[in-house]
Amino acid sequence: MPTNSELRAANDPLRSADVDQRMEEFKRAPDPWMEVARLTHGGDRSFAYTIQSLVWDAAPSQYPALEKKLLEVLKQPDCTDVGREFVCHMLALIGSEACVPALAPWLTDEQRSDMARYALENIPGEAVDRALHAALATAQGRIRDGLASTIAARQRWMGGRS
Amino acid sequence: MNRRTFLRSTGMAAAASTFHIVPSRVLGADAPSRQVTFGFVGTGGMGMANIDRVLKLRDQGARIVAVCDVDRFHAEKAARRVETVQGDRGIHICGDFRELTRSPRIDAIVISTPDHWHALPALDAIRHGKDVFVEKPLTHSIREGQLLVEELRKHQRVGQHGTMQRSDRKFQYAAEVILNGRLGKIERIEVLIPANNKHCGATWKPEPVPPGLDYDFWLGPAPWAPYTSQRTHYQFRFILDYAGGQTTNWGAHYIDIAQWALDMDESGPVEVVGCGEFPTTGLFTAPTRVDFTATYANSVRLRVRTRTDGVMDGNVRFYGERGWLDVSRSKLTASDPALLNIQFEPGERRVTPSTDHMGNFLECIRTRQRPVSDLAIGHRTTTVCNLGNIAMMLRRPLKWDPQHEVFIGDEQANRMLSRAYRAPWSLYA
Repeated sequence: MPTNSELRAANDPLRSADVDQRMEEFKRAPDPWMEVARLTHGGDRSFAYTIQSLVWDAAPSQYPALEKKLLEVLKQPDCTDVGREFVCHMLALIGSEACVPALAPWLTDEQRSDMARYALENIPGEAVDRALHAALATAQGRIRDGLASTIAARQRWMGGRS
Repeated sequence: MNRRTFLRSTGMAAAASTFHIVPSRVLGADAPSRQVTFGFVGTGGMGMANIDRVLKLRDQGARIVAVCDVDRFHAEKAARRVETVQGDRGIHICGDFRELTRSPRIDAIVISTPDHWHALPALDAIRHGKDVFVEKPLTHSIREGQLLVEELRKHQRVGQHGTMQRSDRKFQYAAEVILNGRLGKIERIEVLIPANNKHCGATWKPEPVPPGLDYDFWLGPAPWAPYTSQRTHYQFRFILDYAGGQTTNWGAHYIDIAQWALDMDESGPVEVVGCGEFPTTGLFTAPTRVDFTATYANSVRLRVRTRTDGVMDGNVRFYGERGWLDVSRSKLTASDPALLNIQFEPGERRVTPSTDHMGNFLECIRTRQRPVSDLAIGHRTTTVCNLGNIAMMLRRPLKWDPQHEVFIGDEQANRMLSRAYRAPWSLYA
């Protein structure tokens, strides 16, 4: 089986290019961290895939820096709901309690409660538990059902930490 | 007749119908004590195939009394089929599975929905005292499978997984050859699965939801996304929000045979590594090229790959000290013809000689024995499929603890064992 670096080299469209050509190509390429904020249903998601690959390939030591970049995407004024949801799915994989300040206010928001739970359900930590329980205390209806589900999932799979 | 005219022609009958499942004692010649009443959740392609399998068992007391599908067109079509063959009227039609899973007049539920809709109706059925037949792959996530097996045992229900190759003599023979060491010590196993048979463009456009489809219910626990025709019927399996691609679609069949032959029905591999390819844009997200290797504690390596010859079937080939044995739905081949006609000795291991998967389910409903593809077996098979997908995403060797069902030393991989549900859906009672 080929190694990861061999696989990447084989799939590199610029593998025969010299250093200067590569730099020019790099300067022309849009920044995926900006593009992902403009993600839409049905639109080109190749920039999102680039970020997804970075997240999948990351070592744990790289998680804090990636998490910070993902949270910065959420702050972009033109960030779409599709972009926000994508970021939440990435935070579900590598996020920490550092996500709580950004996502806790969404937990009781009709449009964003599910997105926030997509990230927070998998993130361990008491700060997450506190945010979920605080939201549950005021939530109603569908949002409340979702919060209760997330709290139950954490109790079941995270050893009763929630 | 197209969808619109079909729905218009059946609309009045549908509107007039109420939830009245006719008790089995008035439905026909079968003695009530022998009757087992079935409800169907999901009546698309696989659902209709499973309906026909149950209809063939009507002389053994099987009777379908209700059908459920979020696509009214599918549900109506299924009801007409059942009524025609059973020769009765009053088949209950609905779009909410809970009308079936919670009905006291139904004994068994057959679930043939898209994969993201397997765990919820199965759990609800089990918790309400029903036996269940669940199409493959058993669940969309590994955690769903763990929970399903726990609840199955807790409520002492019968659960059959739709891996019907366990009821095929060719596969049974192959498993018996390996289980009895007739191929010698197994060194490696190669599984080939078909490539994706549907393709879509780099972008897509939202479309109007067709009449009769309760699209929000179709999405269910998956993240909200606008309707587009390629998202739903059949093609859902190429989108990771709803399924695991061909890894779980065909892998569930052929990895199941490998697990069976290795006597790993209650366990699994200890390491997995993969290097598949995923679409970088477009609607589909599941791997387009599958290639992963799972290694078991006894050092046997199971490699699963996408086949490139266009054949829409898989196969599994076992390599042992005495040659190789290859089995698929169409043929059984071996490196030595003598391996194809082994006469087993008394005392050697034989598997349950089921030749009718749905029939085995019906029999076990009556005997309360475990069926040939008990859900726990299906869970372990589906787990290997999901491990493969996770390994192909993360592109690094992963250590798996099959006893505790967690990855060792990889937090990100462990976070892929489940996904949060869209409200209001929940796995937890």
